[in-house]
Amino acid sequence: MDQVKDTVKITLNNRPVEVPSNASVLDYLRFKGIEVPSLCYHESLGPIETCDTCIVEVNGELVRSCSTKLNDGDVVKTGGSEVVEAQLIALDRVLGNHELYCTVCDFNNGNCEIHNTVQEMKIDAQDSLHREKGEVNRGKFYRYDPDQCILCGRCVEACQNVQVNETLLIDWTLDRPRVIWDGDSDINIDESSCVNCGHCSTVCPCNAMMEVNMEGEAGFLTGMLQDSFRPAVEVTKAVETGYGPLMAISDTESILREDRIKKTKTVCTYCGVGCSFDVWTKGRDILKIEPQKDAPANGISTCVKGKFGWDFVNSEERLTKPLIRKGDEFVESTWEEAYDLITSKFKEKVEEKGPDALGFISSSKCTNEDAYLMQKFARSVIGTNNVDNCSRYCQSPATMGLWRTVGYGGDSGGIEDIEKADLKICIGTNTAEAHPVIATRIKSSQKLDGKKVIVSDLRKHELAERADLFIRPNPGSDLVWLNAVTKYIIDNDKHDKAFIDEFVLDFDKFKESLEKFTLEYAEEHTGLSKETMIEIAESIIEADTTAVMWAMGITQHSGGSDASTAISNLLLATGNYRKPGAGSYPLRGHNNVQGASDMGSMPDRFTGYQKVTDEAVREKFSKYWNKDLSGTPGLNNHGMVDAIHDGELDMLYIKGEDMGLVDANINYVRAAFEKLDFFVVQDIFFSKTAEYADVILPASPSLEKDGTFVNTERRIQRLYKVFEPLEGTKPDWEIIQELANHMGEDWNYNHPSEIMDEIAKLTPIFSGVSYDLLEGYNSLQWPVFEDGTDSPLLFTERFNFDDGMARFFPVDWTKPLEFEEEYDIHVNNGRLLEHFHEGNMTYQSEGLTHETPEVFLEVSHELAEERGLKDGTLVRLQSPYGKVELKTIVTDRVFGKEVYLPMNDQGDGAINLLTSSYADKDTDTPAYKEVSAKMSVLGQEDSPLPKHNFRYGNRQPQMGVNVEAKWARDDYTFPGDLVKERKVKQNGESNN
Amino acid sequence: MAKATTKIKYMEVDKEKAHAESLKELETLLIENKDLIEKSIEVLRLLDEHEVLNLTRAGLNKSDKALTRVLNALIDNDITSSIQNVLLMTEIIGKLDIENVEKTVLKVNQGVIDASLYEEKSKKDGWLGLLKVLNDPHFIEGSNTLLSFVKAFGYTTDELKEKQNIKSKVNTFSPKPSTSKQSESTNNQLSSNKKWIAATTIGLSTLVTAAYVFKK
Repeated sequence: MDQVKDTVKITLNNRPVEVPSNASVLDYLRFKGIEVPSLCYHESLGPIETCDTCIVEVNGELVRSCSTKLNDGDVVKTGGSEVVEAQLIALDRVLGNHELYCTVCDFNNGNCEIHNTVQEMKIDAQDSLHREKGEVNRGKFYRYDPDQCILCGRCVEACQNVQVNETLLIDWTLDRPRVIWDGDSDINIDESSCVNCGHCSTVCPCNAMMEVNMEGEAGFLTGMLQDSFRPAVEVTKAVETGYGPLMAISDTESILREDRIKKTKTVCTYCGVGCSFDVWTKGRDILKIEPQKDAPANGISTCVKGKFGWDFVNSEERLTKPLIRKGDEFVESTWEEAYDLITSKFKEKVEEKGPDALGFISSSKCTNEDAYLMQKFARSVIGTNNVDNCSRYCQSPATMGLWRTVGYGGDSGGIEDIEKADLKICIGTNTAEAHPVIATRIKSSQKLDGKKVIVSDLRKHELAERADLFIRPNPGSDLVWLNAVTKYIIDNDKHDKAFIDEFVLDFDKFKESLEKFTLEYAEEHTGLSKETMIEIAESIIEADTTAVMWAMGITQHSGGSDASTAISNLLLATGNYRKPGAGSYPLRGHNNVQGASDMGSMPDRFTGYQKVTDEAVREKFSKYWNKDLSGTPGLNNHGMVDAIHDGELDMLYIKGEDMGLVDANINYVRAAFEKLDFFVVQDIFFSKTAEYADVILPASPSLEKDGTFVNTERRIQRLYKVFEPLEGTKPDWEIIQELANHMGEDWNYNHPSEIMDEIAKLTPIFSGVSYDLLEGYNSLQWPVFEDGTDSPLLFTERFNFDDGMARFFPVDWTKPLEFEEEYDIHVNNGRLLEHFHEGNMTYQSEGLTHETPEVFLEVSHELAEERGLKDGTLVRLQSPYGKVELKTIVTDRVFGKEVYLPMNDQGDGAINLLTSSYADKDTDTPAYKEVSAKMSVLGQEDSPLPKHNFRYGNRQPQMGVNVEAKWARDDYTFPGDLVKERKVKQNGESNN
Repeated sequence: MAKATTKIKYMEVDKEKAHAESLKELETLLIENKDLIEKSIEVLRLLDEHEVLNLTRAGLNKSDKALTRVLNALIDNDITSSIQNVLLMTEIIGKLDIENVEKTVLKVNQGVIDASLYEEKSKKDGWLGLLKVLNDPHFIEGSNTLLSFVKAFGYTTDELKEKQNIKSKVNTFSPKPSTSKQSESTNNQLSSNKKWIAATTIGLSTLVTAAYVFKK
């Protein structure tokens, strides 16, 4: 059998070299530092072949180096008159599409690839005259100037094959081709299917596709010139003696810009993907978010929130002073007054009733360092384990399922493993809207590599539409089909026996527990056909690797932990752990929900999930903190609310959590708040929860502090302070430290890095973490060992039990809540792309609010017909626990009597006015998805979702930029061919 | 035990106290920088007397409009060509070999001096003098020098750039289609001959003209 060769031997510029066999010519040249111009090529996009500037000679032929692979014996030349002539022809065409006015261009910040190429090639003049192509297409977040567009197609490539939103095309049939949206040259950006993910403006090599916040802001002259802009450009073009002096002036101006534009790395504050990028700022203005290809979780990818959703940082509604309640109003106060009051109240209560009369809710949006100090305060200063965080609302069941089976409650691998997986199964996750960048990897691997995608959901969201198989089991029945599929695989002897024998315990007991989960049983209880379940089973058997992703559709049920366990059991049975491209991937919702739990914001765990009941662990913390610590597990947030009602918990301190909106059964929760003796809320806005407080402390968001987050991949990443805290506010860790010291402690952390050093000393899975190892875009995936090595893929050595073995954990089905017949509408709920949770931050953005100004209720066509509903019909939904009033939109995304209510409302449409206090039996995660209501029609108003919303757009799927259409144009000749023709003509004439 | 409320009583800023504090700070700043302030005021006074301040203020207020007018004027009156020419001239000056130009200037100076001295002679040299000069080593070498100067005009621009090591500007102009190589060669030859004839003609003309002028 022939072996695949890793290298090939070529001649490069008359020298023999050995090169990797799978490299393109351009890749290799760049690696060797040999400069060849290239304008359309982008490392994250691959070859696009539109610009032709990268031409070199291979075996006597002029070819594009970006798309030419190296073979044995190739003779490559990167110089010579013909190569240069071809490159110049290509560049001339580019310059015919792009007007050079660098000094007055907002993109002239050292990174304009056209400017840099002209300079490197020492181009002094161009042959082709610039011709106009059309009007600027302006959206709320970015704009497209066709007169500057070089038609490289990077934006189209990114939109079609990376983001896979499939909005952008280049219309090659136009006399002057240009980028168009939704296949129509008249459609405005904001009226199309564009989701404003920002990929296009990120990859554009020049100012054609640019963020609107950059306009008039980046350059010293760009803001000054308005009416005078065009005459200034004309005069410059008329007087310039060549591009050389022009480049010198614009380079100088670009250098001067560095003095006023600051670029700071941060990690996104929104979802659990953990995108990182540079924030460009001028003073307190945010000019743009610039993703970097080296960003470990996202590369060049972002979503609309991460790229454009930062207006909230400078919102006038930010809290800027401590507020103390006096009577029925809050009074602005000083920090000293606030600390005095909190200290006296807390001490009084501890003395009167004991430390367990107080509870502490930490935030999954704040940093690890903030979370660590919050639980340290609760445990060592107050003396209680009544600590929890909002992962209780969503992720605790997933963590439980993984603890039971594999020993670590985190994703098995990273996002690149999800991308690599042969088969991706997505259960109860609206990935394209809740974790957009992860969805891009799923979509692109399906589109480009043919990887299979199975989606299980009640709702036909974007990923469901694209799935190779979309199943809609009955609500809350996923465990049943999962177990049935597992049983089918085992019964047909297709389980991975070798894997099980070597790595997993309790197979026999597990097999026995599956007895009742026959296909017939599953068919009856899930509504899925046997054939469908067999298809799923066969898909898993055939796939080399299977990754299962899940989110709230699994966890927010009465049997959420068991359903999560069933997923892990299936993966163990089929050998889908311990290898790249396989494993379990609960998708964490918030930016630091993983970190908040990692930092011990849990009633029964210290940092790193070390149990409070473990004497040795407690002794370790006790010694380090120099305090006696309680060994009794405390209350979770669910339990705290009950305890308040029971009169056992009298005081609450909530940091960065709008519990009065996001907890289930908020009428019950708010009633509990009213019973508190004393209530402290620490937040950046005056939230719904803060309305019930006695003291409100103004905190700083992520852009105003240093710290770390842990994303869904267990990846610890560093964020750097972009701005000083808004006057009057403080970072959460500073507030907690000051309060602790006010209560008599002697904490003296000067910087969050010192807090992390302490965490590392006390936490085995963080033992090797330090800020030095997290500089820039470096990151670590826990567990991180003392020598600093981390764990991108879990379980390669052992599972996290004492014996190193995984375990099957038998689980049974918990039927979802049943309601009285009158509550006939099942109210599914979840996220939206453009707003994050209750919208405290995202409604501060004019652009996001323009896209989606209010919450809405999705109803099916069937229900609309039955009840006389239309877009804009005002309805009331009433459950046994409360009511909401909001407007409907009729859509095919939902079916029958299932409706969908996004969670993005703070008023009468808040979903948790309907939800109950029933919870997952193992973790107390509220069963948010088990909600039924009755509907009444109240009237008719305008549609809540504007017609320009992207959901009404018209995607245009295509494989990349379709450069073949360009090549087929009558006015196109490959520059290499032109040069060849001229040479042949010259030779022919000379021989006559 | 508290009901939800959204009422906030904002801290009242004692305006008089804040004003007094600001005044105090300003006072301190002024006192600490008294000399500098006095000089600055003097400068401002002079600028104001000369209408500079008014002009600056007007310029800033109307910057975009004024700039537009100026730029349009430049375009409309072809001043841009003049500016471009000046800039091109500046580039060309850079190409002058001033060191060697100096040598030629000295020679020209001497020529002028000698011609002037000859003019002042009462008795001219006539044909005999001319014949004698033909044997004069200065005349011989001077003629050779002048011919060398003329000969330089016979080179093409590309040849000259190569000789003088001047790098051509890179431009994206498409190369013009050329005729056959042979005709090109013939053309080149013809062109070369023409250049010699032209060079010789120019050289002789220069000599005759110089003779005529200085005779005057």
